[in-house]
Amino acid sequence: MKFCTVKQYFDDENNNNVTNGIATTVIPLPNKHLKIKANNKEMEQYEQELLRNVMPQELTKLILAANYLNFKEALDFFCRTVANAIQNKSVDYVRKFFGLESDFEPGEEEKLCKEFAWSFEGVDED
Amino acid sequence: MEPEGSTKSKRKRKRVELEVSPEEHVHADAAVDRISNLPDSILCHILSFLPTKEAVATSILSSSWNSLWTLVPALDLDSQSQCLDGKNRTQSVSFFTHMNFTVGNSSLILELWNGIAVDPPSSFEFPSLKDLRLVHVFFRNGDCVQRLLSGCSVLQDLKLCSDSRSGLIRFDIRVPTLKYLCLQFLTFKPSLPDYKLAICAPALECSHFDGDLGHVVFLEKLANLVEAGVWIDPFVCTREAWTKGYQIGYGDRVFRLLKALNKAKSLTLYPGNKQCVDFGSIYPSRFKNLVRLNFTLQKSNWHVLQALLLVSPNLEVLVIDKLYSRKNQLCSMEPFDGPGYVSSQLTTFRFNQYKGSKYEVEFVKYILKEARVLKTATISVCDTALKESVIEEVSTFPRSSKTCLLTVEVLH
Repeated sequence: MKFCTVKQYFDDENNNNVTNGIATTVIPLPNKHLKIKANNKEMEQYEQELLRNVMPQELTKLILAANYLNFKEALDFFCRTVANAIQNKSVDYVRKFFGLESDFEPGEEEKLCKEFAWSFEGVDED
Repeated sequence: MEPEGSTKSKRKRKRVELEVSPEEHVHADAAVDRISNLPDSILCHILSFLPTKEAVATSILSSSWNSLWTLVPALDLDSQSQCLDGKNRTQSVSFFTHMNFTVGNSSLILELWNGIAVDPPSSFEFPSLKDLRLVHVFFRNGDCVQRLLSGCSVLQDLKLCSDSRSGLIRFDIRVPTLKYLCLQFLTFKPSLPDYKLAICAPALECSHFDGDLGHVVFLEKLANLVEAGVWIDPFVCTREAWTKGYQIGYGDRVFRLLKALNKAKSLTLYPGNKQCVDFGSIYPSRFKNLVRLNFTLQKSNWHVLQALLLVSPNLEVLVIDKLYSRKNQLCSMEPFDGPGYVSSQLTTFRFNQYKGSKYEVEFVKYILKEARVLKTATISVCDTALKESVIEEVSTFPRSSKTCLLTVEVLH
């Protein structure tokens, strides 16, 4: 079932992976899911609300929590949210989002850009 | 202390299960305040929600992201997203070279559709691709198909949807590992030449064909075939003038295709309308393994149903669906002269969209009379008003099976 790990989580007192705050967000999800399973729009709205003010860092914790709890639907949902957030954005935007820095040699990045030119077409203006 | 121990080991184990296991970086104890510190498997999971084009673009983010996209198990590419320009040959070739080089070891599903030009270089390889879907892609010539397929040494599933713009006139499908084949040929223009296809897939277990049947030849017997589906629909427009000329010899093609599928255990068949006019008898080929037949009937293809029933001695389930027939269409049903037209093993019979026409009555009467071990016979009508009269009529038909349950239902 969906919550085979929840029991272990509650049993396990020294749990660093999932803080209480995260747990309160993730755990009610399956009940909500079941209640409004048929209605996709409602679910979307609920999801939008839930994540309106969530920063990438929070999202990271949510993803790890969902992963740890073996909760596939929540994991898919959070990952999809991240994917939607970076879809069609420029390289710099995505770097900022993930907190990455380019560690390529000076010529390397240009070379990659050329090789994969077809994948960079149609990007949003930031 | 067992529960404690198992909790500990479970915690260290990877949770997210993908078809591929990339190198695992477990950052369980590191500061997890950055998304990029998530384990590779989760980052890949995120990338799998992006269109492939975008996932590929992440390769430029940093050196650790460089090959992350190649670990995503499913790829889909659509030329409408301007991924590949059909007219630009260099772009197309570079795409395939790249896919070959970087994706080779982990891509399991590849879907190409809508106008992408497929023209792989001769040394092309996709060593772990198992599922390939080519939907309305454009092939520069017939060889492109086989060149693409030859590079996939473990391919199991192939779906090819082609329309008149695909450029396929003469081509082969030779895949020794292929288990599932789905072919769809749509024609919108009558003036295009017929296509010639040779298939060599001896390991095939499931074969589906839909659309316009060209000259299709199976080079090796399909000894492992379990399921087959054939839906003949040659031309989307109904212009008489064109279909007249096309009819000749078409029934022969349908016949040859069916013969090649005679090891199937389950068959779903719609042999077309006027197309199967010259369809002869299937005998001496027999469908010894056929246990389930789902046949879509029209006035003009009764003889195909009868021919098939005659050579299926082990048939257990027979389901008939009806397609609308025009009023002045000739019925091709032949009289049932004697037993043998239906298997003695038949246990389940279903006739959908029953109207009670003369031929339907004769057929249902025959089945009920000859099927000695029949357990359930279901007749479904579309019109509630018809139900009572059908029940009345059909319950008078003699049944040789004492345990047969006869039901008449209404299904719209």
